[in-house]
This record gives sequence, structure tokens and C-alpha cells, in this order.
Amino acid sequence: MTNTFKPETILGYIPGVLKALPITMEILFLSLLIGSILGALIATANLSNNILLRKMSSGYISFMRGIPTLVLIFLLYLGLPQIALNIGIDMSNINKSIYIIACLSLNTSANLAEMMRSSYLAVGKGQCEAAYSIGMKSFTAFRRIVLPQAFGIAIPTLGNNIIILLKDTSLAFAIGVIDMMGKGRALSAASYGSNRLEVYMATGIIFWVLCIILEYSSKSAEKAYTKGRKQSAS
Amino acid sequence: MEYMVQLENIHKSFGKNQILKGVNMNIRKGEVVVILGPSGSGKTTLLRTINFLDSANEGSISVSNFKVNCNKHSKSQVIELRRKTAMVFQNYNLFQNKTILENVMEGLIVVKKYNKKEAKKVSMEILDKVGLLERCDYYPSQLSGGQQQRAGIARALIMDPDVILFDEPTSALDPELVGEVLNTIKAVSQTGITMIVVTHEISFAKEVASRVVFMEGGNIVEEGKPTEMLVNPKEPRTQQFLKRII
Ligand SMILES: Nc1ncnc2c1ncn2[C@@H]1O[C@H](COP(=O)(O)OP(=O)(O)O)[C@@H](O)[C@H]1O
Ligand SMILES: [Mg+2]
Repeated sequence: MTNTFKPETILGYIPGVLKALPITMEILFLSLLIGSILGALIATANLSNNILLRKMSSGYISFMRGIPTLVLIFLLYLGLPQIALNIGIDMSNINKSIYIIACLSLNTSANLAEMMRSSYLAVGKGQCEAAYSIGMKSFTAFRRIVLPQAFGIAIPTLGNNIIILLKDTSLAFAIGVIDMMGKGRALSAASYGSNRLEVYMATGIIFWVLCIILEYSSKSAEKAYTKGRKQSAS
Repeated sequence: MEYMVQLENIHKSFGKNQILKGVNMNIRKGEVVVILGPSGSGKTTLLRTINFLDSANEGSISVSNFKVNCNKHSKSQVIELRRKTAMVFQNYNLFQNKTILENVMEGLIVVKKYNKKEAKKVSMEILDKVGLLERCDYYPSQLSGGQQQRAGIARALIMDPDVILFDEPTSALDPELVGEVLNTIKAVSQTGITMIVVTHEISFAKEVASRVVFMEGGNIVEEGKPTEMLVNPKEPRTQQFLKRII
């Protein structure tokens, strides 16, 4: 077998793979949005006084963090339509991207809920009490005093979660969505796999660069947001 | 109006631990009441029941004739009571995400609905009084403990409360910073505002208090004029306590 690896061609595949960047970004953005809303609800349930709500949200978080994303994707993509068919609902017309967005939203919502819960708890109780002591209502105190501080505390974790989510979008190819990973696979298949090493290296480089950008943004956001102020009061 | 603050039969338990065992107190307008007592005697809890940071299990609280029943109160009653009181905390509890000026303005803007310009003007005046004008754009973490506590006093004062509650305002401070805060509190007391101060600073109590209350085990053991209480207390428990801390 001869060595067919042509490193000089790697960069040439980047534009081709990048054509699917909008799809990857769409999946990332929508999953993040839906996951955040879901995560906020779950975090609220987890912090409530209701034992049932607490148990349910803890169970949800534990399950979603424990199950591999790919397993969840197959469960939803292959399993759910089957169950639905049994009760007379045809799900075959649903866009595949929607399954991916649903799975990633569910998956990331657990991480985001955990992030929100611990950031909330990291803001000292005294901050709320001080707000109450001058006559603020509890929602106002949350919005003006606790939330801004919790957000500052959460920024690094949020950055990490977005990076994990970005990488997980590449699982979309598994059910045939043409995201960047899917695009890379298609490019490789078009030349019968002869260039697959180069194509996947190009794909890897793109993800890597995106992660570097995200990491840098998260660091600067944290710096800008917390300038001068100490986070996490006693 | 007879009394500014009336506490009637305040009981408070945490779980099975009874912390306050029926405290009664009547405070006239302009009085400065200093509460003394060993650690764990319920002083902090008593102050916190007055503004419902902890709600008492039994009894009633009235501030400038607004009376709230402790075991039967609504949210809006609690808010109204809190708007008649203000608190200065042992650990300052300044809003960490806001500058000193913003800390002081916050209550005016959010609670009293001042516009920003007005709120700023009034806040600057108060900050000038507590000697923090030059530090108004700093964040709490950039200030010394003494400066933070003076800002805490300004944040309480600006709400124009009927009574200010001080919970050991100097006990988290380095010794060399205690003086500046006590002087600020002294100045506040001279404006005629009603105050309840928990402190271990005996000489401060002698100078500023109109009444000294000694608490132990969730009860008021003895109370009286500072000259009597601090020099010739009647109760042996008070005598013992004073001997230990002087
Ligand atoms: N949130 C709480 N939960 C349980 N116990 C508490 C709580 N707050 C105070 N206590 C208990 O109440 C007692 C009185 O506390 P505190 O009012 O802080 O006393 P002091 O201020 O006089 O030192 C202490 O034994 C303390 O452990
Ligand atoms: Mg105390």
C-alpha cells in the first residue's frame, strides 16, 4: 500500500466543509436557546421547596448527564417514531435537524441547569437579605442583585458548555444531517474515501479554531463583565 | 403616636431550638437602644424578626403604628414593614455587583421610585456625610471594611426609615477601623432617628445609648439607663457578662 496522504491539500478542503457552517451554527444556536430555557425551568424546580419537583429535576439531570448523546439521538430518532406510529402518529415527515436540536437541547439543558443552580447558590444569602432589608420585593431582588452576580459566576462554565455543545453538533451526521461533519463525510465519499484523512483533518481544524474563538470570547466576556467587582460574596 | 417600635411576646424557634422566648420591648421615637448579651443569646435573631428576615412564630411587631401579627401576615405587610425599617449587617452585605453610589441609590430608585438624577443627588449628599464621596465609584471589594460599613450605613439611612437596626456593625472590623464606624453611628444617633444597636462596645453604649438591654438565652434579663446598667447592674448574670467583656 502506497502512502497517499497529501497534507498540502488539507487547507483546500476547508471551504467545502465550511459550506455547512450555517447548519452547524443553527443547530448550536437553537439547542443553546432551547436548552437554556429548559435549564432555567429545571434549575428553578431544583431550587424550589417542593420535594417532588426537586426529586424530579434531580432525576432528569442525572439521566441526561449519564446518557451518551449518541444513544439519546438514536432513541429519539429511531425509537420515538416507532412508539408514535403505534398510537397513530406519523413522524416520518419531521426534518432530521429537529431531532438533533431536540436531543442536544435536552442534553445541554441538564448541564445548564446544574450551572445555573450552582451559580445561584454561590451568590451569598446576604445579598438577597440586604435587598429585602431596604424593602425590595423578592423578584426585583433576584433580577437586580442576584441574577447579575450569578451570571458573572456562570460565564466560564457557560463557555465550556457551549464548547461541548459545539462539538456534539458533529453527531448530527449519524442520522444523515449535513452539518460540517456530514459535509466532510460527503466530500470524502465523493472521492471514494481516498482523501478522507485530509478532509477530516480539515473538519477537525475548523472545530478547533471555533473552540479557540469561543474560549477567547468567554475569557474576555468574563473580564469585561466582572471588572472591578469581586464575584461570589460571603 | 406613643411608641415607634413595639415588640410583643416574640417567640422564635429553629426546629426544636427555642431561640426567643417571649420578648417584649417598647421603644419611643428617637431612642437609641443598645442590646448586649453573650453570643448565641438571640440578639441577631431578634433584629431579624423585626424586619422579617426571619419570621417569628408568635407575637406581634409594630413600627410607627403599623402592626403585623407574626403568625398571620401577608407578603405586602412584610414589604411595608421592611420599608419602615432598615438594617446594617455585621458583614456589610453591600451589593457586590454595584458601586458604592449604586448601592446607596438602589433603594431610592427601585423602592422609592426616584428618577436617577434625583437619586444621585440625594445619595451623594449622604455619601458626603459618611465621608465616602471620593470612593463613590468604587466597588465594595475595593474598599476597607470600615468604608464598606459606612456605605452600609448610608444605604440604610437613605431610605429614611423609622428605625435602623444595627447588628454588631463593628465586630467584623480590624480594631483600627472600629472608631470611624462608631463615629458615623454616633453622628446618625444625633439626628434623632430611632435605633436598635447590638454591640459589644461598652464605651460606645455609655455615650450613645438611651437605654441598655441585656439579653440571655432568648430572654431580656434586665434593662435600664446606661449609667445604671453598665455601672451598677442588678442582675448577677449582667454583672458577670460585663466583667468578662470590659
Ligand atoms: N437559621 C438558623 N437555623 C438554625 N439555628 C439558628 C439559625 N439562626 C440562628 N440560630 C441559632 O440561634 C441561636 C441564637 O443565634 P443569634 O440570634 O445569632 O445569637 P446572637 O446574635 O446573640 O449571637 C444560636 O444558637 C444559633 O445557632
Ligand atoms: Mg449575632
